[in-house]
Amino acid sequence: MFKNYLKIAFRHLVKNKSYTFINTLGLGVGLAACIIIGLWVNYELSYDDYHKNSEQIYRVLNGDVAAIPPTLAPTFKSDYPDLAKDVVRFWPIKSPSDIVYKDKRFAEQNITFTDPGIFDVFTHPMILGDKETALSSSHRIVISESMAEKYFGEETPLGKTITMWGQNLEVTGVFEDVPLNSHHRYDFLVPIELLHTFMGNMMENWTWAGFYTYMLLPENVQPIQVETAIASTYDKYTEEEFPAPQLQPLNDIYFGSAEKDIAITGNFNYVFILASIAIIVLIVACVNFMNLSTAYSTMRKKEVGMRKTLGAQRNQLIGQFLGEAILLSLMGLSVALILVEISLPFFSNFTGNPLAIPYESNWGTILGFVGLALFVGTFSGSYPAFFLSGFRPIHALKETTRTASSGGGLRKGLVVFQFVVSIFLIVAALTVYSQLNFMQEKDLGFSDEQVIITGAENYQAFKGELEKTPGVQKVSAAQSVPGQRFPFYPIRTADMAPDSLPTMRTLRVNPGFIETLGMEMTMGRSFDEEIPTDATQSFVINQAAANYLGWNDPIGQELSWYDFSEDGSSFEVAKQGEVIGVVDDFNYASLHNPVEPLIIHVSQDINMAVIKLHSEDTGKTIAQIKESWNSISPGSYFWHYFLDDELDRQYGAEQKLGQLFGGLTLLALFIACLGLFGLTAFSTQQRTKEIGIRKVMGAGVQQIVVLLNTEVVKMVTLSLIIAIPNGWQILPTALKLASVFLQWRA
Amino acid sequence: MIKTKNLKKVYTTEEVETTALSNVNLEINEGEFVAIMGPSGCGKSTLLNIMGLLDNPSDGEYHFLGHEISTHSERERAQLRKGNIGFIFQSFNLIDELTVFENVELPLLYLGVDSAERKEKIETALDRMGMMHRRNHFPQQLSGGQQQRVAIARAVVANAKLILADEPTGNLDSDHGDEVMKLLAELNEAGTTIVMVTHSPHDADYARRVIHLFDGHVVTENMQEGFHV
Ligand SMILES: Nc1ncnc2c1ncn2[C@@H]1O[C@H](COP(=O)(O)OP(=O)(O)O)[C@@H](O)[C@H]1O
Ligand SMILES: [Mg+2]
Repeated sequence: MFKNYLKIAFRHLVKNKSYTFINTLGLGVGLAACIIIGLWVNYELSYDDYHKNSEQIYRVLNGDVAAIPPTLAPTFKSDYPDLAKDVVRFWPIKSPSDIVYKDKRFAEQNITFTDPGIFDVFTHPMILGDKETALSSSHRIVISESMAEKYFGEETPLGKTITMWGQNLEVTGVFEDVPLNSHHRYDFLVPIELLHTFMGNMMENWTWAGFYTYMLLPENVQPIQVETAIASTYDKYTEEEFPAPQLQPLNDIYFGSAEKDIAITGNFNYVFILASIAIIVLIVACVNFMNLSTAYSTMRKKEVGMRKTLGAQRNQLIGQFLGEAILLSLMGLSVALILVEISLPFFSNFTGNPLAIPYESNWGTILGFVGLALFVGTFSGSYPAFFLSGFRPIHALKETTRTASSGGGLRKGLVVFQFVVSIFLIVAALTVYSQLNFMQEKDLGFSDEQVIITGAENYQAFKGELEKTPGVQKVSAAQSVPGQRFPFYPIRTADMAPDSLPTMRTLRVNPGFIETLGMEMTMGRSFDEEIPTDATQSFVINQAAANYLGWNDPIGQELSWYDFSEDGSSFEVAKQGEVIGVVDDFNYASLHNPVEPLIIHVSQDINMAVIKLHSEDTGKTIAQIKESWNSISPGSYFWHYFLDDELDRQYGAEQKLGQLFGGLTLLALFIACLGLFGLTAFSTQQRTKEIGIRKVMGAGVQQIVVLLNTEVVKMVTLSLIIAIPNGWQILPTALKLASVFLQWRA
Repeated sequence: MIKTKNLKKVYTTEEVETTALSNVNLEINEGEFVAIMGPSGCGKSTLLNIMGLLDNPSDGEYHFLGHEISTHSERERAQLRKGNIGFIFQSFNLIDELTVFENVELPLLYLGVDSAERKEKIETALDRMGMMHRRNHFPQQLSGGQQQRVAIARAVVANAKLILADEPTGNLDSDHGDEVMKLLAELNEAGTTIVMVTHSPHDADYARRVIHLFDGHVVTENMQEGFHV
């Protein structure tokens, strides 16, 4: 029987080629979209999964804050040896630092100070070196495979000496590159013990919240026990009031970013929204399939009638037609897999996620695909199967059948449904686009155009040269620039209770910074090089800080700013003075979040030069700047970037998601059109006789084209009539969707 | 084999009620060859469909092989139909996508006959109808007479006790029509009960009994004296 079903199914597919083609292509495209988005979703969900102990690894948060004191890890380890197998800290450096090997010198970003236990907690297979001893004394460094390649090429890195921060470090290991699906990545691991050289007693300070602390718990320990123990540790060792500690599972970090987090994290809303759209595209493809199969079912009437006459039960027929639907969806699946193979490299490149179908690694994938095809076949085949198997034999075998148009109403309804869905998607996509444009065109509060950022070695001499360069408009310097994370430091005002020491983001700059980036002052003035007290006892705060501190008239208010004490054991007042100006809020972190309070003051503790160029001939100007750099700091690497490029990159994720949204929408529309085309082709075929008669009666080709297309025009018009007014109504919903999409907070 | 009592069939379609059969009382015994005649629209096909369990009467009783089936569900009727009744239609109703062999195979598949036995039965049936040489052809490649012979092979392949033929020669020229009638007569000789609807008095001559229908009523029943062989 099965063979008979297969034969007849294949013969039908061969006979009705356009039907087969349209159905297979529609399902193929829908499934391909689903598979690709599925792979992407799977990748997004796979963050940090690769660690063998990932289920047992937790990160310590104080309340919602990820950065915590350096002292917790060693204290907890010695006080509660049974509660954690190991505790490891990360202290990623915030701005690029030079790494030097012989004549090679590069400013590196991915340097992290850590504890020797990192290799026991996390899974980073060592290619060279011994993971037990690699970080066991202060002047060692372990590097990633690609860094080994970059600095040492063919040489063996082990035992070589690298210089960083003026310290000679011995390369003691090479680890496999940290996978891209990690919430925190590093190319250089340096022992935290080395940090003692620079930080001294600060490392015993309970108020310095800058370390990310991870624990590997034994199987029998519950996170709540550890949380309680951490709270008691704080109680025992410090007067400082901490919010209740929490253990955050490693696998939750990527989607559950904390305050002061270690890195930019993922957004579950994106995952959710794209997955929903992919499913909608697949549903549109399924509806196509239902429609076409139902339309073409009239061709199977005689067969159904005859089979029933011969004693076939309805469920046997349902089985037969479901089987055919599954066969078609399996064909669609093969088309989909080919499409996926072709488009995946582009897609991976586009999203920056290395996606691949893991054929070799598990049968589960293959079973999953087949399961998907079965589901799609059953879902979209069930209506046609019930419809077909419901024919009564005596009617089905009647000579004159009016059924060519039966089910036509439903079919038209489904076509309208497809177009309504597609148009809704278009409305939503347009909304997202306009929001993105809004973000890109939104006033950042400063001008990022024609601004390059470079290193600041021998800054005063460098600045002298730059001011003589004709292509340079303005020059200043700062410790960090917008787009980076500005560090928190304690501050205090006269109004505050003596024991409170709130922290505020701090930006240290040279005079001229505010002007170089074209920021607006709302009150008072900015720093002036000519006024000596501006460097020693003046602050500029942003509007958010004025609001936060509750000052209506901030100018002249007294403020103390704290830094580590000389021996590093505590914070002490490092600058005391008054507010001389309020700068308008500018977006220094992310347009997704409101501008946070910020305190700005003058310091020579700077990392980078900020150079505003004239718009002509920037290439030539940069070449001149490089020349000056090389003459002033010979042997030092000249790095630079355009500030606007860097900031654009930060919104790249949204932009890409917006484009994906648009792309999927177009696919849905394409599939809906394909289905409409199929139905039109079918009804043309059905109406050949009518067309013949009309031609005989003298109808021209044009009139016939009109005749055949009125139906289509009617359906598309109806879709527009339904979708557009409702589109306006759902616009607020779409906006909400978009705002979820962008995590927009107005 | 077949017994009807006050059989009635009313079709109700949007506002119009058509009485296709009223008060039909019939008895057909095993081994008979009955022709049903009457003008177009008088209810011949309706009667045949009820006899063939393709439809339920609106009222009255219908006994088939001892079962009172007027209240049987579609499922039960399909079960009873299977293997017991063979159908022959004016328009052959062969499935275009199946070969001659596969068309004849269909009833056996629904009966769950195993493959070797199927092959044997199909070949016997096709041999009997003189269609063995066309076993791998598709219906569209055959003449009307050949198609009807395949349809007869399909009707007999499962050794149906009753064959219902609705104007089997209606689409055939007289030579091919005669061929088909001869085959039916042979089947009847061999013991199969046949009920046939026809417009042609010539074809009706092959039957032993002729039932005349008019406007849903049985008007006369004639026993034929002698018949052609
Ligand atoms: N499915 C149906 N719905 C409504 N009326 C029907 C249907 N089938 C047959 N009829 C009507 O019932 C009457 C008998 O039809 P039928 O049995 O096909 O006649 P015959 O086969 O003798 O030409 C006719 O008037 C016909 O129009
Ligand atoms: Mg009839």
